[in-house]
Amino acid sequence: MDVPSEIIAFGISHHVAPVEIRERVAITDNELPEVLRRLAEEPGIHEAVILSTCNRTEIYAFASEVHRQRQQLLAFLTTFRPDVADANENVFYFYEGREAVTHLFKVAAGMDSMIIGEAQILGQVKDAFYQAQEVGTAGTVLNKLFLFAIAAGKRVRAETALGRGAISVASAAVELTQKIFRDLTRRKALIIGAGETGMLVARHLQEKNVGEIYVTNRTAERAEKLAQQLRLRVLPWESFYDRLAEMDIVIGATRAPHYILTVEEHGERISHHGSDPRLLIDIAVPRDFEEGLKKMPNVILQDIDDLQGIVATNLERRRQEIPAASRIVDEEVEKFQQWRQSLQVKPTIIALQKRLQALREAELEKFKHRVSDAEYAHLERITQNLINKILHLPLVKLREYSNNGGGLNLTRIDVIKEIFGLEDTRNEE
Amino acid sequence: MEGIIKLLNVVLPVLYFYTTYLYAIFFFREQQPAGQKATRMLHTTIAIHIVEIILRGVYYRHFPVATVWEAFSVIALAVALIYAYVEYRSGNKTTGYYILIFVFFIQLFSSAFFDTLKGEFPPFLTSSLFIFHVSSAILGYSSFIISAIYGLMYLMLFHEIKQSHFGIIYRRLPSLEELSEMNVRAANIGLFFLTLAIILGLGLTGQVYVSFSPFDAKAIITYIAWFIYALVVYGKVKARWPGRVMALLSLGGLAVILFSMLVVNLFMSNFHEFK
Repeated sequence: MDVPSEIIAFGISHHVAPVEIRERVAITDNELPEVLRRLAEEPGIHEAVILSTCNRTEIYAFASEVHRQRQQLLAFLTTFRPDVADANENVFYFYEGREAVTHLFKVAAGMDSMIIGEAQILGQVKDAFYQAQEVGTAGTVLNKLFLFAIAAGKRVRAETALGRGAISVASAAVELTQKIFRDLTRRKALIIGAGETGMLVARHLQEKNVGEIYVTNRTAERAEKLAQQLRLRVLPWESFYDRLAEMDIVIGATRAPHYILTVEEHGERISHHGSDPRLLIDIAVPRDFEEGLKKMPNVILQDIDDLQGIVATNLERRRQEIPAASRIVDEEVEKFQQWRQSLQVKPTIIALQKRLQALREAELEKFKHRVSDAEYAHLERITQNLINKILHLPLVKLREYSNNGGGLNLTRIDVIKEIFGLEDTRNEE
Repeated sequence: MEGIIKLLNVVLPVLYFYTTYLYAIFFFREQQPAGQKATRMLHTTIAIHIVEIILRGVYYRHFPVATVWEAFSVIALAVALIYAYVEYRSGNKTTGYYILIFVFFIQLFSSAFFDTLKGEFPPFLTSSLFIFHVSSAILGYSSFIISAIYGLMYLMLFHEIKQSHFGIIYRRLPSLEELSEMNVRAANIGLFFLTLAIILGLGLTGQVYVSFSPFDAKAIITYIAWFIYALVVYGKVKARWPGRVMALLSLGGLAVILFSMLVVNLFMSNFHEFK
């Protein structure tokens, strides 16, 4: 009787472990091939994929002797990362079977991420899978598992709003820009302040193909440096006010202790802007733009609290999408489980046929020299017909179950194997 | 056949209501399948509406705009058709709810006060010049209605952003620039067709109307509506007025059109009265 194998997931994530522990366990891209190879040599591990990101390190394996794998995998990690031994064992989780499959699908869909619905994780799941394929540790079961996981991740993104809406202040600023202007390629943006925040917003604006992006800073060198880095245009601090009237988007990101734009000094220049409103985004603290500018007729001014409001709304909306995403994950898990059942049925059919053929041949062999050739040929035909008739209904039923995916669980297959004394033929597939 | 026409007349507002409901589900609950269903329902409703208009034309033997309520139904169809075309071209279904709720009410009024001309009627109601005149006027008014609805959406989104409310309207409506473009483009098209209708109407006066005064209330209201939407186009193209101003103007234009459709047509004018 073969030893049953199951899909398992073992790991650590931001849910249960702080960064101090996660960083000790993390496996770098350079180390990964070697770790995978050694993992595949561990007793009972048939296939393996390792997913290691800044928020999680997880081992997915198709393994036998499942009951001892938790301890074995922990010991395995400790050989690579001795520091892990100091960590509380409870920060590691271990799932098997359907639970492990569901966990991976949720991870791929971004449902288990620190920021729900973030898109990066799906790419990381793909990379982990491709690396295991390259090393040769992903076989029939994990290949299919990861293909299903990637499909589930894509479906959740396409059919729910789990990944929609800006979730950082910089991306919320750009989202707001797109709510005002449809075509950003013919728009001009000015970023006041060349610090970290200014750079982040500039990057996001560039990604959205804003026509011209200007930067200005009290210290000219910093503006020059940022402009070089991101290929922006520089406006001198002393005279950028003269160009304000032509800017569609003005972003305040300085650390100045006072207002940079005020109603009294700049209101007139800011308020006249043709058909479309002028967008002022103030992400500086203390604020760069006087609040009174909000009241100007064709001006939209949003500060950091407003942008954080967008982020909070989007995050809440993502949370509300979790039930819909869970339904999709459940459907995909079900499809995968059906595939696994079909995988179990096929070798059983082959084994059953082989077993009865072997019995027939053994019995025929006893008569081979006791009867004439013509009688032997007659016996061969009779026994073959008999076996065909005996096997007909069981094979039809097995194939039916395999195609429908329902009605036949793995325990029942094991019973069939046990009754007929079948060996595991999965590896022959 | 009259029974079928009367039945369709009752069915149409129900169909428009259901279509509007589906667009509302798509807009407020953000359910993608509801959007696809809404589009299919809109196409079905439009097809049934076209059949109803043709049946009316054939059975009553005139282009079905002889009464205000008949004209309402044709305007509802025209607005729905123009919207279906805009949705097909832009792929954006989020404005459907706002357009179709208006269509539903126009059709509801038309069906509720269903009437037509029977028996003897002036022969010009079947003349091609008259049909062109009326078709142009209806396309003109329908475009103005659409322009005003886009104007309304512009004002809603502008207000939401200005007040830092980032709810469903912020998420679902297209950008202010896009709404403003639709607002002005529809005004432009409406202007073209209403100008054509006025010219064709002047051509018709010799043949049709016994007495036509250029100071007829209906004519004056038409000129006012034309002037308001001309201002919308001028404001965008030449004067570069803020989008908000154009949106407000087009809403003012809609008020004038509704006044013309209801008050003037029913109570004040003997011009365009064919009974």
